[in-house]
This record gives sequence, C-alpha cells and structure tokens, in this order.
Amino acid sequence: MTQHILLIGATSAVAEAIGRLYAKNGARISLIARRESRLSEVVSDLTSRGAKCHAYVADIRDRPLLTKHLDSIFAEQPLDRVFCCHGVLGNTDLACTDVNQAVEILDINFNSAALILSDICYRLVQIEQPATIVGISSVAGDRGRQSNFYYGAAKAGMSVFLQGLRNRYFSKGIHVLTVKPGFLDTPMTADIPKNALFVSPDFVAKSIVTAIKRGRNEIYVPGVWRIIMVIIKMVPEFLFKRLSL
Amino acid sequence: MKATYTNSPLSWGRVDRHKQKIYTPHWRSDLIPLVDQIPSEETYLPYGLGRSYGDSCLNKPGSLVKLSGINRVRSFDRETGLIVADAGCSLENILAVIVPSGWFLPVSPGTKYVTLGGAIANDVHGKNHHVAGTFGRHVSWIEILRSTGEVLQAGPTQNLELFQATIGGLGLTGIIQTVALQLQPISSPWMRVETIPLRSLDDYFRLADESDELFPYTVSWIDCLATGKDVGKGLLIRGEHAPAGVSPLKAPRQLPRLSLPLDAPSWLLGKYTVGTFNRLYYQMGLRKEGVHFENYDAFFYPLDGVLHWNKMYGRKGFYQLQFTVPLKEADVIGKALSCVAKWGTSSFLVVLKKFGTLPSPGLLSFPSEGYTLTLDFANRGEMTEARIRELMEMALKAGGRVYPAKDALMTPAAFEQGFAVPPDFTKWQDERIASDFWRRVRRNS
Repeated sequence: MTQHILLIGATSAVAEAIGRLYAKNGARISLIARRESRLSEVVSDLTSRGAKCHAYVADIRDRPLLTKHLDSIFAEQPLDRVFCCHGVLGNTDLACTDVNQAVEILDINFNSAALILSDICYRLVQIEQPATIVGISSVAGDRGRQSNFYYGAAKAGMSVFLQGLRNRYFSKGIHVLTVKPGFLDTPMTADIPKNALFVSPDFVAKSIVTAIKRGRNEIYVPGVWRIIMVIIKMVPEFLFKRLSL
Repeated sequence: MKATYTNSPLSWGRVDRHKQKIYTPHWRSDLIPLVDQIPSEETYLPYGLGRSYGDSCLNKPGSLVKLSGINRVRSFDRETGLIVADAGCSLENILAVIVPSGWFLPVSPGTKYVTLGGAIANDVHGKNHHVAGTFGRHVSWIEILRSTGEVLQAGPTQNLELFQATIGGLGLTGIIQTVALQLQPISSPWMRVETIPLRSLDDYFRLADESDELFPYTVSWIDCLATGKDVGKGLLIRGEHAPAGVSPLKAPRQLPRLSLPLDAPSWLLGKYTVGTFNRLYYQMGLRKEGVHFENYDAFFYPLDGVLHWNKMYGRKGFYQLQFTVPLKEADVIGKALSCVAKWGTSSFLVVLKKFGTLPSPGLLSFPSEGYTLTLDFANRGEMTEARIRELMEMALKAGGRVYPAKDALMTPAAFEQGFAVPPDFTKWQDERIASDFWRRVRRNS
C-alpha cells in the first residue's frame, strides 16, 4: 500500500518541498493549512506530480476542527509519516509590549504543535501503527537571545517536547525526528538579508528524508549548525547577557 | 508585500552591480495585490532566475518582480503531454515531473535553470532549432497579468496579437503568470550521441547540413584560439533521444555537482589557461569520438554541472555575444573567429549552430535562418567593449542581428538594424513595465 503522509502547515516552504519528494512516488498526502487559496495551489502542484491529495483547511489553534480533520485523515488510511512544519517568526519587539503578539508566537509555534502531535501519537498507538514523526524545531531554541526569544522559547519547548515524545513512544514503534534548521531562505525570512549560511527548503527536505532513512533522532541543517550551537551554548551567561545577539 | 534591495549582481554576466529593488512573491494569489500595490510612478519588470547575461532582466530605476518563488505545476496530462504550470517554474523543476512519465521539453536551451516565463520572454532556442523552431512555437497558451490588474489568456487561437508580442517580448507586455506547454514524447531518458572532430570551418559547414538532416539535435563547439587554416577546429555533437530498451551497458557517471562560491581571480583567465582548457576539451571530445549514450542532463546542460560558472570570469564579470547571420553570409563566422583568435580573448565555450527555417510566432524573436555564433568575453573594460562592437558591426552589416537576452552593449541603431519593432508590439507593451535594456536600445525613439 502507498504511504500516507501528513503535512501540517502544508503551505510552508519546507512542507511543500517535502511533499514534492513524496509526491513523485505516488504517495497519499493529507495537507493541513490555514489559507485555502495557497493550500489549493500546493494541492494542484503535488497532484500533478503524482500524489493523491486531501486538503484540510484549519487554523492550527482551532482544536475542535483539527480533531474532526484527524478523524477523517485516520479514516482514510493510517499515517506513516507526519511532518509538523507550521510556524511564525513573529515580532519580538511587538511581543514585549503586546500580549496578543506574544500569545500568537507561543501558541502557534509551541502549544498547537505539541497538542496536535500528542493527539496523533495517541491515535497511532491505539491502532498499533508504526510511524515517523518529524518536528521542525530551530537552532533558535538552543539558546535564548534578546532578538527572538519568544520564537526561541517556543522552539526550545518544541525540542524538549519531541525528546519526550521520542522517549515515550520508542517502544511502540514510533520514531521521532527533531529537525533544527539554521537560516532558511523562505518567505518567513523574506525581509532578512541573506548570507552564505542560508539554505534552501529543498536542501532541508532532502536532509530530512535522508535522516528518516538513517533513523536519526536529531539533525541540524546544515550540519555545521551543530558545531556553531555547541560554541554558542558554551559562552557563559554572565558574558552572553552583555552581547546584543 | 515589502520590497528588498540588493547590490549583488542580478544578471548572469555580473557586470552590473548597482542597487536594485525586488519584490519576491511566493503565491499566485499574491500577484494581483502586488501589482496593485506598486506605486503608480514606479515601473517594474518580471524577473525569473536571472540567466539573461546583460541588462534585459534589470530595471534599476524601478523594481523587479521575482517570479521564481511561484513555481507550482497546475496540471499535467500524461496522456497528451500538455503541462500547465506557473511561469516561475524552472525547466529543472518541469523535467523532474515529466521525464519519468516519458515526456520531454519540446525545446531546451543550454541551461535548465531558467523559468518558463523567461524561456517565453526570450523565445529561447536549442540544439533542435532546425526541426522544432523556438520555444514559443510549443506554447499552447499563456496567462498574462497586465498592470491594470486584468488577466488575459493568449495563444495561437485567442488574443493572437498579445501572444505574438509576448513571445520574445522581453517581459514588456505584462507578467506571464501561467504557461501551457505541449511536450514531446520520449522513450528513454538517455541520449544517443555522436561526436565528430572538426578540423576546419569547411568541415563544419559540410557536416552541419548533413547532421541537420539526420539528427534532431546538433551543435558545435569551436576552439576559439585556433588560427590560420585551423580556424573552426572543434567538435560537432549530434544526438537523438535513445529508443526504448536501448539502455547503455554501463551507466555513465552523473557529473559531480560543483559550485563556484567565489569570483575567480582575474589572472586565472589568461590566454594560457583558456588555451589549455580548449585543448583539454578538444582532447576529451576526441576520446568520445563516435557514438555513445549519455544522460539527457549531460547532453543538454553540460555547464549546469558547475553552479555559478559565471564567477569563473572574475569579479568584473563577462559579456556574452550571440549573433546570427544569413546563410549566404557564412564567411562572417570565419572572419569573427579569426578576430577572436588574433585578440587571444578568453572564451571557454564558443558555440556554433545553424538555425532552421521554422518561423516563430514572436514579433521580436531572435532566431532567423542562418548561422549563429556565441562567444564569451571576460570584462576588461573599454577594450572588451570595442572588440564586441566590432564583431557586432560585422554581423549587422551582413544582415544579421544580436540576441537581446545576452546583450549589454547594443546601441539603439544596432538594435534597429536587427529588429524592426512593429506597431503591434508597441500597442501591447505594458506602460508600467520597463527594463534597462529597453531604455538603452530605444533611447532615440
């Protein structure tokens, strides 16, 4: 039977790139995204590339609607691969003064991701379906910085949550892969000037598929970020707090 | 949508490094609001992957709308071979979808890193021009977004005037947002290729005619440093899609994907290095003499094996000149090659091809029956410009023309000698769209 893939945040550049890699093998792909017009652009693309697509429009914070969608998705065919790719960068300056912005960053990047993944894992265990869960975290979650610590804190939560999930469901045949990209050249970072450390969503997607095949638990993309973050984490806090990073 | 600014070179020749404003939409549904949002005093220009060599893809006083982020396939009929896709799709992207289903691009330029929209705006040609004509001949219809916010469908059977103005129209008639392309069927992703050494230009002229009758794809590489009776020394490469089931015994290695991260230092491109390169290339060609099989990638896109090969020409960038001359003026090719050899200017790949007679629907399409020669020149300032102008002059005098997609130096007079801009084109030009190229060559009118 063909694989059943779920893309959460299906209109994110990384999700779309992942979708293209599976579409050419004729996979069944379920897609969840908020904006219907964009979702339909992705669906017609993946369908043309050979996938069988089902689109579900929902705001990732809309729990009741997501539950309903998950019912339909599981009724279709049990899931083999789940990619949790949604996120917003948010505006840290605004979040410091506007609680709504702070709530939005934390809810979208952490709460909603944790809740939908725990729901999915529960369902997978109920039907004894082995699967791979891929969560997109970020190097921003490895250390809090003044410039993006709401986003970073949410991603730190995401990384720890994925660790816990991996630990809890290892014995049930559910594999969890944490992906920590550095800088991505995507619409999310459209306003940031690009340097040599930026990589394309296609590169991330290929790295993820390779990591799944190799059964990796956590990857940095590109790999050099593992070294960069080790160094950044080694800077003592009394010094770090004086840096304007 | 916010615009960004960049100082990095945005055209393939990398000569122009001025600041440029760019909009980068990622969704088809963003396009109409974007066009609506651009202030009315600002001109804009659709931009794809920046493979045009000169300034036809730049608009420094205004902005660029970079379309390569909108790159989705809308439908693909595997029975009829009609693909409908966003104009921002690269040919690489399209090939990845169609080749596994037994289809291929009807016409392929020398790189797969161009968008469908760019291929239409420049009405690109390939090694099969003598049997297939230009890219524009295979377009079933396009959707064009005008600055008024109106979306018009155009093709051979609807809005024909707009269609003809847009094929080869350098993006000046509107943003091409959707393309329907008729593909050609193939039985195998492999190519059957024959390489024949050329000892002189006479060899070429004799073999070119014979090859065009026997093979759908023909092209020649010429050693630009050969002088005297050796002028025209090179390799003629002719090929066809391999029949089904004929797969080579040994799968050829995929070329390693290299990338030049930095500009090469300018001393690297001296007469001796280029001479060595040319000799090596010739020797490697001789080793492949005869018939062999290769992957379509190696056959159609050999230069794509080195990403950013344009940086090889150093920080000052380079010019490429491609001109065409009528059949009866074939001796211009020999004269031009002799000049280049005499100057010893560095050109890695000099390409010679005979254009066929098939007409293009485009009003400003470049290819016309005759011979077309392509040369690179590292930018060494005024001396380089003077030499290129000298070659241009030769071609124009012979009734030829220069390819706008590669040009950075044509004067308004030179452009007019090659292209008569018909009123039908001016009529369909979008007044909000402008390019540096167009401003340059239309200065007098």
